Parts: sequence; structure tokens; C-alpha cells
Amino acid sequence: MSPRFLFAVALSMIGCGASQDDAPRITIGGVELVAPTDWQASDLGGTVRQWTPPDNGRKESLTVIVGPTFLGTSEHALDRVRVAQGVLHDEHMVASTPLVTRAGLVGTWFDVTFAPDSAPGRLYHRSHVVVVAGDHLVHVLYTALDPEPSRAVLRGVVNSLQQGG
Amino acid sequence: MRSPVLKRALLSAAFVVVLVLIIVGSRRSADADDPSPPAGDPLVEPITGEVVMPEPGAETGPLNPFQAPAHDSRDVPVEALSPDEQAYVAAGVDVDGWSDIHAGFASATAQAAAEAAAQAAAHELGIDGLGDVGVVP
Repeated sequence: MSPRFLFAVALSMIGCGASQDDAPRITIGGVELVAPTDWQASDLGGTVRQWTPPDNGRKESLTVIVGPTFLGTSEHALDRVRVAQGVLHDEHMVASTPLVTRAGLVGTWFDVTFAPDSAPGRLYHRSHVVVVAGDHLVHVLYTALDPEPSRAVLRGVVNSLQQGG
Repeated sequence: MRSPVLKRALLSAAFVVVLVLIIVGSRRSADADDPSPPAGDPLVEPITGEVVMPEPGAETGPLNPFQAPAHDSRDVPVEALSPDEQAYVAAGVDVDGWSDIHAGFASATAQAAAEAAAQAAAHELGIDGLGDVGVVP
């Protein structure tokens, strides 16, 4: 079995356990998802939405960005996302893994560390999941100074992604 | 007594006649001094001193930068220079450490190119603020 298949199965199992079928769904840029439970939302304008937990000792956030129509193939677009990680200051790519969401959306999971300009001297962790939804890329970014190891919130949102009608 | 109008007309006519005679005379003198050589003579113009322009076909052409220049009797050997001048020449041909400088420039340009490619990719994907989005300070 390929690592990609195992990863997709594991992601699907987590999604099933969350039982998000009945959870209220929101729409961002034509993409439906279930927002993190009890996290506070802030609209950053356009097709960007961000959530943070009320007690944020880990300095966590989850951001969803629905990108514009991409050019070329989806493989090329996903590769451009990998290249775009270079804008992060002191970026270090920890891992890059292909994935398939519960709804069958194909994408890539990037784990990176970086030192953001807005928090000098601190090393942040980011899990950047990007999936292809039609001719758009959907970015789900979990960013934290002290990340929660299981990335449960991120996995829940990613598995809830569905391409809107 | 003639009328003033007739007198003025006669003066004008005389002025025109004199003007025509002057023009015709100048054209004749110009024809006499025409410098055009007779047909068939070589176009040789006498000059003073030496010719400062090379003859056609005597141009040296572009120099080959990878070929040592031909020896010139006017060249000054390094040994004939003063110690200060010799030190200046020696510093100019000393390439020790140049590889480090070249490596530094190569590394810097490669890094700048990678950053530019990353910024272009982020802009193309609509995620320009990737470096700070979601960061809780």
C-alpha cells in the first residue's frame, strides 16, 4: 500500500469519528465546510476566514483561503503552493504528503516551521493543507507557536470540505 | 517739366537693369572659378603633414580578449616600475580569494531568485500574505 493511500484512509477515519454530517456548514468562495467548534471567527475579507480558540495559550489559529482560478493543471498548481512556501521567513519544510479528503478532494499536506516577521524571534509551526476544488485551490492553514500534536481541528475542517454547487 | 510719377518709374527701371547686370556678372565669374576637376583625373587633394587616418583595409579589427596582446616596444616591464607601482600591479593580478567572492555572489543571487519565484507563486495563487496570515503574536 502506498503512503498516500494510508494517509487518505487515516484522514477519512478521523473524519468519520468526528460525525460532522449534522454540523452546520458555512460557505466560503463556493466551498462548504464545518467551522471549528467553539472557536471565534473573524472575516479577513474576500474569501479568507480565520478562527482562533477563546483560550489561546498555544497561539493557534486556523485560516481558510479559497484562491482564485488557477492556471494549468492541478498538479502544477499544487507544486506552485510548495514553491510559495519560500515566502516564509526562515522557512523549513518538515514534511510534504499527498492526501485525499473524505469528499474525494485531492491535495497536499505541508508541515513547515518559520519565523514570522510579525513575531520576531519566535519559531512557529504551520500545517498547510491545500486541496483542489474544481478550478480553485482551497488552503487550510493551522498556525501555532505551540501546536496541538494531533491537528484535530485542522483534520476536522479538511475532512468537512465540499465543493459547493 | 516731367511729372514725379514718370521720374519715379524711370528710376525703378534703371535700378532693375543694374540689378540684372550684377547678377549676370556674378554667375559668369562663378563659372570661371568652378573647382570641379576635369573628368578622368584622380581625386587627389594635396595635404600638409602626415595622413592621420589609416588607409582603407588597414583597420586592426576587434581584439581577442583571450589572446595576449602583441609585444609593443613601448611597453614598460614591471621590473622597471617603482616598488609602489609594482605592488599596485601585483595587487591587480592577485586572484586569491576571488572564488569566495564569486561563491558569495552566486549564493546571494540564487537566494534572491528563489525568493522572487516564491513571491511570484504566492501572488499567482492569491496567498500573498502567507508569511503573516494566521500568526497570533
